[in-house]
Amino acid sequence: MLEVRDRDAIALLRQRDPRGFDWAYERYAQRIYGFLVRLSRSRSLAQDLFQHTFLRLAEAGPRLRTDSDLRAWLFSVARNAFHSYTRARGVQARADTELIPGPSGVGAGPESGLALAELERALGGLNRDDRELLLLLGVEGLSYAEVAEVLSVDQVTVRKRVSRARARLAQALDGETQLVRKSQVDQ
Amino acid sequence: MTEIDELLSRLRKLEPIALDGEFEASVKHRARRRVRGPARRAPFASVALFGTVVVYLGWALHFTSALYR
Repeated sequence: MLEVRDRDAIALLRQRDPRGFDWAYERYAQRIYGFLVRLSRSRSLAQDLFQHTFLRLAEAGPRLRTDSDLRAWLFSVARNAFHSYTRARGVQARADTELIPGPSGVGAGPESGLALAELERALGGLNRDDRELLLLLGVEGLSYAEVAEVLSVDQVTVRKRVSRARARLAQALDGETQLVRKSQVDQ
Repeated sequence: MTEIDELLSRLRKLEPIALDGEFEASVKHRARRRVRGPARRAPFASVALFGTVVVYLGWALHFTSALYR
């Protein structure tokens, strides 16, 4: 089901009213950027792709259908931009060393900063397809139907792939935990 | 399965990644301009161009008809 605010944003965009863009930007900019940073493992590349995504919204917005799922559309454009980039260069995306901010909320809640940092590392170590799937479904909270739309596959395929990706993440996390324990023992 | 679902809910707790303010302002500025569409040409320029063409065609017609008088 489409959110009322998204429908309003699309209606304004169709009238070439910049307020429609502002609404969409305010709502999704940080999420699209986070998705791109974690997917590409590079802040500079994520900035290029982020810019491409929102300029594309500005250009295509007036032609969007009124019943378009804006969130899925934006993630789809961002994801396709990333894949076009990597295909064109025939490599995994360039990777920065200082990628994800360090945990700021250590001990602030049930999920400690250390555990979140381990999760970030484990997620970053997955292959691109698994990471993309878990980012969309887990981090961004898209539904299976929306993920299927973004990836242009059917929902059954998404469920199968998610199951495998989850298993690989659990395995990677296990490895991370063992590494942390070993480093604590060494100290 | 429960353990796996816990994994997904843990992923949701990952912190958002902040955008650089200057970069954001530049993207928004460019995008807003694109939403409005291409700027219209000044109407004066179009009228002046149209007038020049009409005057030239009128003169050419007058000149050609004078040749057969």
